[in-house]
Amino acid sequence: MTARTYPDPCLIAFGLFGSIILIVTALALLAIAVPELSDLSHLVSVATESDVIYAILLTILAAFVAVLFLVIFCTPLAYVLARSTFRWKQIVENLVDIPLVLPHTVAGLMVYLLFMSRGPIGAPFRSVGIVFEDAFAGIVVGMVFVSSPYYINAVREGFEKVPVHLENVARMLGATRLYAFQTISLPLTTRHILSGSFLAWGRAVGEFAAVVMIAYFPMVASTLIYNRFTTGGLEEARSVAFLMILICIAVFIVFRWLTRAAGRHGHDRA
Amino acid sequence: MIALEHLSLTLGVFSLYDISLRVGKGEYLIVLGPSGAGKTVLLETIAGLRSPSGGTILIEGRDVSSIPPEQRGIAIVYQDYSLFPHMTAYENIAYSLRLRRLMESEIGSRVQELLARFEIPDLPGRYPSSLSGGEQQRVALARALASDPSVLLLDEPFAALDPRTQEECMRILLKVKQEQGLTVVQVSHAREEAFALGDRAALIIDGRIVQTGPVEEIFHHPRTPAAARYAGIENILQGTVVWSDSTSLVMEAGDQQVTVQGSAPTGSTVTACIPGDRITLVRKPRVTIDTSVNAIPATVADILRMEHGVKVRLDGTIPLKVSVSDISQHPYSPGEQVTTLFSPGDVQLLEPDP
Repeated sequence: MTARTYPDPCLIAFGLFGSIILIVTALALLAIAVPELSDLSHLVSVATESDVIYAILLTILAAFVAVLFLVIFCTPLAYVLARSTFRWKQIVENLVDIPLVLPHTVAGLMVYLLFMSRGPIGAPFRSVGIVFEDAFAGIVVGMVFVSSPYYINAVREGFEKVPVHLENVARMLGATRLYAFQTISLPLTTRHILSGSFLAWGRAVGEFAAVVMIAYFPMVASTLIYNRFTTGGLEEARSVAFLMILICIAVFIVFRWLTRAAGRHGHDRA
Repeated sequence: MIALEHLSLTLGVFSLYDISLRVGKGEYLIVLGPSGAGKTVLLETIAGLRSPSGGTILIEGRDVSSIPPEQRGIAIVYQDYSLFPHMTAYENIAYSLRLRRLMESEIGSRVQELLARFEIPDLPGRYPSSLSGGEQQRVALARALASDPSVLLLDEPFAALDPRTQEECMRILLKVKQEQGLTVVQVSHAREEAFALGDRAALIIDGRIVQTGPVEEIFHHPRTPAAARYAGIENILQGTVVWSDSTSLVMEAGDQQVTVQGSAPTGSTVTACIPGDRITLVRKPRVTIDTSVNAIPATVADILRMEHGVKVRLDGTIPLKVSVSDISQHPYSPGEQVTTLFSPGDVQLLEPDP
């Protein structure tokens, strides 16, 4: 006779309580998906508009470049934060987290003040021909600024999970700190780097305020959605938004597959 | 050979104080001490993974104090083995060989040789997560020796193994050590390991080396009260010398007089220890007690059953703990009046703790 198992009432209560947010998310998705899928011809016509295609490709590319920038420049910073203790560490940690707590319009204003043609960073770049205002570079810096804490904190957590003994042993076997980082710490943090990159990419794709301040044009998807909403109405904005949802879901599936593959190949077993 | 000269290091609230220690070429030194004494920190300082705030570290006569760990010719094996989880056993062992840019065929034959030596020829393709504790330990040792170190540092490498696997690993390690003439420094707090492996031992307590010498001496002839406690000697007496000559003295502890072999000036305060297994318990002495034997009256407080006999805790002017191996002949009960007998030669004078 098999024993009958009874679900835990506490877990059921917690699940029901927590499901409120899931229901809201599902309803929000349905609120866009149902009207769009019931008028496919309109959706296709919007999806084939050159403005829409351009904005979506621009958003994906700019977010990708922003993530690339984060991987190159912020991975070493995450490692330093995970591995070392120094006098001003708390201040550095607060600096990393600042974009998380700022209103995005404030973040956008800060980016604009710094990177505008007369700004302390914008001016020298302008003199060598690189302009941030209403330019691809401006979109990227806006995205980098708001998404950096997501990447740094995720990767830092990954490095912290790699036991320091592993690096010690590698060094005792003859590896320099850099070689130990390349061969031990970095491969064992692959999953965290991937998840940090995805979080940062998602944050960058969704950014509106920080980007629009410095680069209203060329329009990224979020700017285009806002523009269509204010000029063309709800239906125009909804079609572009639905296309973005489809793309983000596709990217999410690819990301899950990549992280699972990284796990299969022995990474993150520390 | 390793020579540490007046080594000191501060790590938050913990410090190593004035460590001076020599380990001869081919010697197996066991660093003993309670948890948190600084054993692993000392090992990592020798390895170069921590920077000392003072003193020097000499390896084979060369001052390595400012040389990075990768250039010291030292290998380390931690208690958790620290195998690289994303690499197979083969890749783990080959790690140092690849760093030396050897030919792949040469790396292969060297790895096979090490796998054979550690009696794990079938493991090369397996990841650490699929290996047993004993197998991981052998791979870690093989990996350490692949780098041809002159010194091998071991941080409690047998602590997580079952007794049978422990014994096998110790046997292999001793064999390899003898074949290669390795100098080994091993951190441990296991008495059996120290006796089985160590040529000599150093006892570290609260960041200070309190005693060095043969393993037997550390456990049977402790130098300080802390060393005695570490050696498992619980009876530590303090008293004033009331009489002494060149070979023996009488100290007054509580209101009892205890004769001790050794010398100290009359009137001075001395500390001594008595191993619990050197004390005999009697109910009523049938004959007049030999005056050359200490006889202290006491009351049985409680009895704790141990693997080999019992431990009897006694109340009295000198509270003592006595190990009794053959309890069947002496079924003591709490509250019973007894007399403790012990020879002056079994009472050891101790130096004060640093």
